[in-house]
Amino acid sequence: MSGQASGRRGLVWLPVAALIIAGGFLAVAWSQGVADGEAYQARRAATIARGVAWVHVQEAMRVDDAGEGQTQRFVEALPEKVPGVREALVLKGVNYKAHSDAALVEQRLDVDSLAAKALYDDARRLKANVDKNAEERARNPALGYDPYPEVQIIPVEGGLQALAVAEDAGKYIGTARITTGPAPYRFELPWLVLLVALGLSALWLIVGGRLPTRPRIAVGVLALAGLTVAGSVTLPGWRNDLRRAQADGQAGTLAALDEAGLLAAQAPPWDPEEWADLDEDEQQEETARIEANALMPYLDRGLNGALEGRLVTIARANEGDDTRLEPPAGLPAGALMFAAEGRAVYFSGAAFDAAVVTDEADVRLWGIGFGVIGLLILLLGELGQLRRMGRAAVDHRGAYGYLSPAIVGMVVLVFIPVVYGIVLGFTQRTYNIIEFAGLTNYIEILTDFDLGDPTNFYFKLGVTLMWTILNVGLHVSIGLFLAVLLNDQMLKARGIYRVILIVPWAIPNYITALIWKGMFNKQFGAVNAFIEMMGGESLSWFQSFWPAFSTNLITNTWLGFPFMMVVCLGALQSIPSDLYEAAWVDGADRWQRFRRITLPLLMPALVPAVIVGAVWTFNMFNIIYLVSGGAPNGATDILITDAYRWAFERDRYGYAAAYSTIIFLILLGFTLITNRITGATKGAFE
Amino acid sequence: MSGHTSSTQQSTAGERLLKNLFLVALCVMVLYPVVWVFKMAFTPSQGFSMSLNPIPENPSLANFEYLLTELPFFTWLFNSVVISLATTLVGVFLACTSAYALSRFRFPGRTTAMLSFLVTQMFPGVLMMIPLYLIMDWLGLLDHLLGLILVYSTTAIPFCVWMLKGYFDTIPIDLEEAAMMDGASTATIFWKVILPLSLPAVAVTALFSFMTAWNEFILAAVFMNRADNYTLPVGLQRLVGQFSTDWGYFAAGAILVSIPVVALFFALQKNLVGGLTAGGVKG
Repeated sequence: MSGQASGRRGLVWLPVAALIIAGGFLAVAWSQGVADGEAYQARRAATIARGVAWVHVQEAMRVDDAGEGQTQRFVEALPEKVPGVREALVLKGVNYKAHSDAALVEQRLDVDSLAAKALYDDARRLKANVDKNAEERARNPALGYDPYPEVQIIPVEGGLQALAVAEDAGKYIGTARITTGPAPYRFELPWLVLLVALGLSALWLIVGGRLPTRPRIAVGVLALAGLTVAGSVTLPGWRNDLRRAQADGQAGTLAALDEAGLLAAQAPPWDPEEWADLDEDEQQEETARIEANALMPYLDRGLNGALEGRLVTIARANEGDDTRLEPPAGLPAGALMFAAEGRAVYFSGAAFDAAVVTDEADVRLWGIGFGVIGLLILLLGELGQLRRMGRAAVDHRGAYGYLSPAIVGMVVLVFIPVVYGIVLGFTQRTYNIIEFAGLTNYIEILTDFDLGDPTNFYFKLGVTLMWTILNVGLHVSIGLFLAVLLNDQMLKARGIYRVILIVPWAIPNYITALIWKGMFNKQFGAVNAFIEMMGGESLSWFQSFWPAFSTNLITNTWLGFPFMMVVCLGALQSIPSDLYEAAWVDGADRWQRFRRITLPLLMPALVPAVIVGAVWTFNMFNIIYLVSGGAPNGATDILITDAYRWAFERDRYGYAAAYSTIIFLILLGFTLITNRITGATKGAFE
Repeated sequence: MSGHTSSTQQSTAGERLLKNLFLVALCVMVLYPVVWVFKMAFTPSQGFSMSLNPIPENPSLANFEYLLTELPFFTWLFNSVVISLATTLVGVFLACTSAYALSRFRFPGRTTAMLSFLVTQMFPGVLMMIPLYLIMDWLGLLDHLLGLILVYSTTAIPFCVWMLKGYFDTIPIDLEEAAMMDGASTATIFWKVILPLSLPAVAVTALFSFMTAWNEFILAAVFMNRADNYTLPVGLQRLVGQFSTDWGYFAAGAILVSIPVVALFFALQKNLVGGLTAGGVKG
C-alpha cells in the first residue's frame, strides 16, 4: 500500500521537469523577442536616417528633378507613415534644414536646451568623421571601408535615435536624425513546447504508474530529451512576430519616399495597394528591389562602405576615443551591437536587410541547459534523492535557516563570480559579444616563452615568486629577530617598543603605499635626501627594474614585519622557561638553546603565519599598483596586478580571467600541499 | 608572560644598552615615514624642499583647510562611513547566524559549506573583480554605494565566520541545554544566550569588517566612477601623482583617515592576531 502511494507520489517528477523545461523555453523566447525587437528597431532607424540623408544629398546636389523641398516632404511624411517614428530632422550647422515639425524648418537650435546641445555635438562628431574618413581613404586607397562612424545609434528615453551623415564624395551636407519609440516586439508563447509538456505530463500521470520503475525512468528520460530537442530545433522559429512590424515599417518608408516624389521614377512605379496584396516574401523582395534602386546608388559611393561583414564604426562616448576594431569572427553581416558606453557599433553590409539576427546556437545552448536541469530533476526525483534532500532540509531547518542568508549572499557575490570567472577564461570578449574560445587563452598564456617581454607569464611568475620569497623571508627574519630581542623581561621599555613597531601594520596599506611612493619621489622624497646627505647621487627610482622592485620590497617589508613579530612574540612568551633552565643546566649555549628549543616550539605558530603571509604577499595588489605602478614598463608588476591590467587596461576579460584562474590554481595547490605537510587547519572542521 | 624570570633569560646591563640603542634606532626608522607625512601635511603651499629634517619650516593648517573646504572630503567621508557601517551591520549579522549554525548544528553539507568558505578565500579579491564588475553592471549597481556594501560584506563573511565559529565552539553547550530545558527556542538561545556571551568576538568581527570596508581601495576605484561616489581611499589616491603638487593635501587626508583606524587597530590588535592565524587564508 505504502509502496503504491510512494509510486504515485514519484509520478510528479516528470511533470515538474517538463514544466521547468517549457518554462525555460518561454523565458528564452521572451528575452530573444525583446533582443530581436531592439535589433530590428535600431536597424530600421539607421536605415531611415540614411534614407533621409540620401534624399537630402539628392536635393542638395540636384541629382534628379524631383523638385524643391523633397527632403522636407519626406521628413514630414515619416512620423505619419512609418509606425514608431516620432521625429525626423536634418541639421546643418546650427539650423534645421528639414524637420518633421514644419514650424522648425530653417530655425536655429535652441541654445539653452541640453538635448539640442547633444544633437549639435553628435552632428559635429559625425562631420569630423567624414573628414577623417576622407583622409584615411586618401592615405590608403586600398582601404575598402570607412574606419570612422558615419552612422550612430543611441538609446534614448523610450526609444532610439539614429544619426546619419549626409555627404557627397567627402563633402559634408548635413546630418539626419531619426527618433523612434520603443522597440516593437510581440511576444509569442512557445505554444508547441507548452502543449507537448502538458500532454506528456497528463499522459504520465494516467499511465506512468503502470510501468515498473526502471523502464519508467528510461521512458521519462527519452520523453524529456525529445522535448528539449524539439524545443531547441523549433525555438528560433517562435521568435516574436517581427515580420508584420517589419512589413509595416517598410511599407511606411516606401510611402514616405513616394510622398516626397522619390519613387515616381521607378519602373514599374511603386503602388502601395498592389504591394499590400503581395505575400510577405514577395514584399521583402519588392522592398529590397525598390530600396536598392532608390537608395543604393548613394550607398555604392560608400556612405559606410557597404562591404560584407566589415566593421565600419565604433564610437564611444568619450571624445577622441574612437577605436577601430576588426569584427569578431562569425558575426552576422549587418549586425548591430551596443558598445559599453551605450553607443552603437554598426556592422554594415546587409544594412537594408532587416531580417532579425539572433545567434541560434546560443538559443539552443539555453534550451539544452534547461533540458539538463529537467533531466536531473527527473532522475534525482525518481531515485528518491530529492525527497531525501527535502527531508534533510526539513529536519535541519533550523541550521539551514541560520545559514541561508550568508549562503545566498555568498552564492550571488562569491560563488557565481568565481564560476563565472573560470568560465570567462574560456572565452574571448569584444564589447558585448562573448565567444567561446576553448583553451586559446590558456595556450596563449602558457606557451609564450618570450621572457624579454615584461608581460610574459613566466617572467611575471618569476618576479612574483622572487617578490613573495624575499618578502616573506625578510618579514620572518626581521620579525623573529625583533621578537627575540623584545622577549626580555629586563627590558623596561619593551611595551613602548612593541607599540611603536606595530604602527606600520595599523596604517591602512594603501596609505602606506602612497606615503612610500612620496618618500621615493625624485625631487622631494626623503630617500633621495638621505642618499644625498650620505654623499650619493639621487636616483630615479622608477626608471629601471631593480630600483623600482626595491621600492616595492622596502615598502612591503616596512608594512609586513610587524605581523610576524607579533606572532613570534606571542609564541615565544608561551614557551615555558623551565625548558631554558634545563638546557642551561645541561650547558647548552645561547645558539643551541635557540636552535633546539625556541625554533621548534615556534613552528606551530610560525608555519600558519608564513602560509598566510605568503598568500597575502603573492596577491599584494595595493603595494605594487600604488608604489611602482609596474614601472618601468610593467616590469615590476606581479601576476595579480598584471591580471588586473589585462582586464581593465588592455580590455581582454577572457585572457585576464584565464590568468586569474591560473593564479587561483597556483595558490590552491600551494595551500593544499602546505596543508598536507603541516596539517595547519587540522582540527578546524571538528 | 609569567612574572618570574629565570637566570637564563636575564641579560647583562651592557647587552641591554646595545639592545636599547638598536631598538631606538629601529623605531626612528619605522616612525620616520609617519613623521614625514606629518611634515608634508603641515607644510603649506605644496612645495617641499628636499630635506631630512622632520620639522616643517613654517607649520600651517593650510592643507587641512583646503582639504576640508575646497575638496569634497566630507562627501568621501560620508560615503566611507555609510559603506563601512552598513558593511559591518550586514556582514556581522550574516556571519553570526551562519557561524552559529556551523558551530552548533550537524547537518548534511556542513563540511562542504566550511570548505567552500575556505577555498573562496583563495580566489583573490582582485581576480573576482572581473566577474563582479560584470555582475554589478548587470544588476545596475555600478556607481552605487549599495553595490560596494554588498560586495564588502559578502567577501568579509568567510573570515568572520571562521573567527566566530572558533569562538562559539568554546562556549560550553551546557548553557544552551539548560536554556532549552527551561523551554527556550533556538532563536531565543541564539539571541539571549550565545550572542551576549560572544560580545568580545562579535566586536572584533565588527571592527574587522569595518576596517576592511574603510581601507579597501581597488574595488572602490573600479566600481565608482562618479566623483561624488568616491570613498576616502579612492579620493585620496586621486590626489597623488608622480609630478602632481597635491602631496600636502594627500598627507593631510592620510592623517585624518588613518587616525580612527589606527586607534581601532590598537584597541583590538591582541584579538586580531589570534583570529588571523586561526582563520586561515585571506588574499
